[in-house]
Amino acid sequence: MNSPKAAAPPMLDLHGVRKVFHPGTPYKVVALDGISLEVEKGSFVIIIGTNGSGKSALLNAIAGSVPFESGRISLMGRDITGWPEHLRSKYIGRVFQNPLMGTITELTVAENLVLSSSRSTLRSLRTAVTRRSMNDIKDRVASLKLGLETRLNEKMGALSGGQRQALTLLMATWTGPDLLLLDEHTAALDPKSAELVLHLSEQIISHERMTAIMVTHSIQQAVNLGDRLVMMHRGRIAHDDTGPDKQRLRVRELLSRFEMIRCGEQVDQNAAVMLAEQII
Amino acid sequence: MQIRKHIAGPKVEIHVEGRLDANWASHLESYLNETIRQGARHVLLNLGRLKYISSAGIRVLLTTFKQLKSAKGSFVLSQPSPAVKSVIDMVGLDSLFHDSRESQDQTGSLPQPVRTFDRLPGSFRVYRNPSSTKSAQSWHLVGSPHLLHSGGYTGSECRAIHFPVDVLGLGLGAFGNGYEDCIPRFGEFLAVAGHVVCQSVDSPDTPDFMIGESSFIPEAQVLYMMAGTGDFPFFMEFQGQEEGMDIPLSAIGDVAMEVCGADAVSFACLGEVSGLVGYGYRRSPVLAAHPDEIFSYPSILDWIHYRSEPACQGAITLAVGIASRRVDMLASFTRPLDRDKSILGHVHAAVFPYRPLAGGYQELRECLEVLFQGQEPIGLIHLLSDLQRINGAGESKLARGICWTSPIELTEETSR
Repeated sequence: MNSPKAAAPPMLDLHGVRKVFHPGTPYKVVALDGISLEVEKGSFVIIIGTNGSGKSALLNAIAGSVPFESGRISLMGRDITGWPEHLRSKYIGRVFQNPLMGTITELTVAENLVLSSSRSTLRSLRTAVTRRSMNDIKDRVASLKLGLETRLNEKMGALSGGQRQALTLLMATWTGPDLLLLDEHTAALDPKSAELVLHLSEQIISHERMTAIMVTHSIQQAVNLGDRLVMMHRGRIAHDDTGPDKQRLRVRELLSRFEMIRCGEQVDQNAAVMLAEQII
Repeated sequence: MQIRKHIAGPKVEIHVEGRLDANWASHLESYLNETIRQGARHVLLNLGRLKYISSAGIRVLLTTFKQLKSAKGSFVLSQPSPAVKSVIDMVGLDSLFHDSRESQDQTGSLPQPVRTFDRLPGSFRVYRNPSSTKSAQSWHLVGSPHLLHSGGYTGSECRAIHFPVDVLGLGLGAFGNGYEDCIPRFGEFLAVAGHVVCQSVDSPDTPDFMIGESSFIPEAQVLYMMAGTGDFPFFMEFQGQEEGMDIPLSAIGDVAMEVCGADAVSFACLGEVSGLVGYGYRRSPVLAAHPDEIFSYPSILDWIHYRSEPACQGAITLAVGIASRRVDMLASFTRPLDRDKSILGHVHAAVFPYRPLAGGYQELRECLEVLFQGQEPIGLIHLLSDLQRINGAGESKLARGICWTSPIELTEETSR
């Protein structure tokens, strides 16, 4: 199982990343407790965990949306720790839970797409929707097989949540980012749309051999998707399964891991003293 | 479909009326399961008013028959209508119309209770094992349990140990080829009557197990253990004196000591769980950089899995351990089981999905063969008594069960 380490640096390398909310107050929360995580190129990592386990904080730290106290983050061997979010977004695509966050309601579908396709080169609303880019857009939107290529001139606001999320996914992966972050991107959708967006996500990730990190609440999704499963608890990595270990995981086992975590939460210092005395 | 139940002594008669089709089969199945859980072992199913039976219904009859057969009970069908009878005959289940016990009644040759006594909350029936040849088991310590506290284990502490039918063991070990191979997997294990179950640290629901068969003798890599040799001279059946009265582990140990006339006993107990309290390793303890990691708060939570509430209700457990009143001799290997701290013990419990247990005298090995047949253990727990006065989960408790027990004598460690 210990395959020789590739000479190339991992796609993503987090080392000792620590994030504390409300430090120095009674409300102090250690969101990330010195997380270290290496993600190989082409890996599809699922992150699962209880509320407040640090899943979203981790994505925010990677995307650069919030500063963190200590630790380093490298992407393709480049240290991006000090980079602001907009610089990182050149290399990192992201889809949020809220379908309204990834697209601009008042602009047309085509305008939204042009805006995102030019993200890494030029960010200007003056960019015209040229005939050439229009054809390109049409092809790509048609690849979603949702029939949206006929509605490119409609306002984004006229589309359903699922349709918008599918387009956001397309936009996030348009420029072939080094890393795709999916932040519970189907949690706000109805079951049918969620299924559709998940299917598209899987298709795009595998077709483009994209490196992706997906945060989810769904144990079923965690079992069915990805080639690596990271389970977080209290800002730390509680389990990290990859390869055959990931493939063998089933819902029952993940539920029992959550149950173990729940049980651990109930063990206070007194119980721990009792427990330590009992261990033989 | 209508279901009515009549209880007459040890026999339960159930009348079914209407159609036993796919819609109703699972309803009847859960009704029968509940009846068996409540203790019924001889069930007569009266089909007098049953109009129709489909394959779904046949399946329920067959699974119920198998369940009761494995519990040495009986399942008999009576008064079927011609239509229903012809279906049952055609699928080859016509033998269910005859009480199989009548043809092979062996009660005469089976041991009868030599003693019964009621001690709240339990009622116990005691039998002598007719084939037992020794008056006591000989137990000894293998390896050094204290290394867990003082500095961890190395390869030289690990030994490969075979577990033939007459050897019992409980301690820290794993299945594998030598120490290096087992480093990530060391956990609690139990061995009894040629059956060895090892806790699986990375997935607590799937302990690994090995069963000795013909010339194959299970082997485990052991860091330390208490090991015993010999058979069990005594057998007992127990249940709550009234419905809902559960038997704490300390009471089983207490009665076992009285039955054996000894102040230290071993036991192998098969019972229906009311609640188990105990811990298991979350990670192999030999991976700890320093032993303090395992024993101090909060890092203990990374190493030890503990439920602060009784678990596994309704499951079956195979609990193997020792109980004693001798604080002097077994102190390093036992902990208090009861609130008075007068009974000490060290017990490992394998957990299985529910299946009805047979009543009356039974051979341990036969019972284990039935237990492991077609199902796998779903947990292995080191039982403990959480005696914290207010927050404590208390003792492990069983609703009913059977138990083999023997006096034990301690001997010096023998090198293997």
